[in-house]
Amino acid sequence: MLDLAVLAVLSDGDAYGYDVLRRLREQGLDEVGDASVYGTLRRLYRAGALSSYVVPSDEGPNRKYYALTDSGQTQLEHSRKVWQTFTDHMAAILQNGASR
Amino acid sequence: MATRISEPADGTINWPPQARAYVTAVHDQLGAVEEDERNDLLEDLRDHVAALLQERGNDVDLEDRLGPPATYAAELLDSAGLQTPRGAHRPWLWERRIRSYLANPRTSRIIDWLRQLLPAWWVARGYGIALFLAAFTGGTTPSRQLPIPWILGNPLTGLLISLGVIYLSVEVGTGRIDTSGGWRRLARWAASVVSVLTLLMVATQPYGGVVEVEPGVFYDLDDPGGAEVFFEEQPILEHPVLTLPGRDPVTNIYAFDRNGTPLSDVLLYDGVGNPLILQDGPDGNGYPFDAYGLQTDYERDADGNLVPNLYPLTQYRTTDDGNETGSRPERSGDARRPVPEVPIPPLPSNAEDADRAAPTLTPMPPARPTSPPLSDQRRSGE
Repeated sequence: MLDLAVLAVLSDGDAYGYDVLRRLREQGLDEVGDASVYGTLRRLYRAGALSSYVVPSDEGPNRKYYALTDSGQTQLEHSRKVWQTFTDHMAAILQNGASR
Repeated sequence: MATRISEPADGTINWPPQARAYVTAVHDQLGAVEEDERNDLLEDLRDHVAALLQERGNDVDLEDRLGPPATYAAELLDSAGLQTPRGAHRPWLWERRIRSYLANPRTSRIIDWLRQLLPAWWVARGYGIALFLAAFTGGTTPSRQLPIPWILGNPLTGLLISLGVIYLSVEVGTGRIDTSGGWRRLARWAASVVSVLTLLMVATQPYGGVVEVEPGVFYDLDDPGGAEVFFEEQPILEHPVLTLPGRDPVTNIYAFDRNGTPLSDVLLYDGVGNPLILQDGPDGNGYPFDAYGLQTDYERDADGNLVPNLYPLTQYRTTDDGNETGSRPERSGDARRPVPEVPIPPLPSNAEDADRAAPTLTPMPPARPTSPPLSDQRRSGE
């Protein structure tokens, strides 16, 4: 699930690790661990779903930005469909259960 | 949580010690991960901690924010799909204890204070490397007042290379030159070790050891004028010798009376009764006119005894290990005689003339050695 969340955040624009974490928190994922986000970024990067580049920062050390690759974009679309299907099914199940 | 005495990573030098200690502790937890991957993970962590410090200040509690280092590392490995390789090195008990000791708050403060000296160490490391290069390129240091290593026999080259090496050392120390991985880290450690050893070697030598030398001279006394001088470099002697105003060593002293008659059995002492010793060379053979790198081919009498004062002396140069260098001057045969061919200026025959002949000299009272045995020797010499 975190893979999909990270890919979705990056589909809105390139971001560095701390920025990805902040955006996730802003979307309500308060409980996600910092290390989990960075680990996920590294794993997606190794898998070719993300690319990275360094941007000098006036406020501190250089920042490593992550960006979606074409492969990452494809993975995002596929995962979104899977997730949407899953949530639809779950919604139906829960609705049926509640109506009985 | 542990810390270590090492150069901080790029951008972390101004961090509070607990922040560096946290990163170091996570690093230790990732010790079994492949180095490139570990460096990437730690780079992300450093960026993250830097952002937290910037946003929340240096007082941010990282363990409260991120969890204990071990937990953070485990979560990081799990989410990154990494597993610790089987059989990988885990810190030994003594390593963990040392790190635990270093993580002590009081020890951390000392280490934090020592970190302020790191820039000085970076400069010293570069200088040590320059001294090392000088030692292996026939370099020297012209004097202790201006300790610029001579590299490739040239002080200007030495100065430029020294500045360049110091610059590189500082860049490595600040992390602007990355030496975090593979052979670069090995090279950094090797350079540091070489520099420390060289600096220790130089510091423990009473007169500069391997590189510090001062100009020496080689008098070719077979030259009729006796004045041909080859300026070369020679290591400073363990015991200083008498020197002329230009720092050239005095290689001999001749005693004559005021009529120009050479004196024999003269003993010379300084103002406090110390005997004057010339050319106390490291060979220790007691030959009176030998110095470091300079030996004399003494002639012998019919009984095989050395004749040390048959002038001019046949002297030749030797290397550090005693091997002869260059060509040895030919003996002068029958022309040699027990006094050197030194022009003797006419001396006044009374004290009044003497004062006029040497108006700049201050009359000195007779030197009185402080040591009774030396005093006896002196009177016998006079």
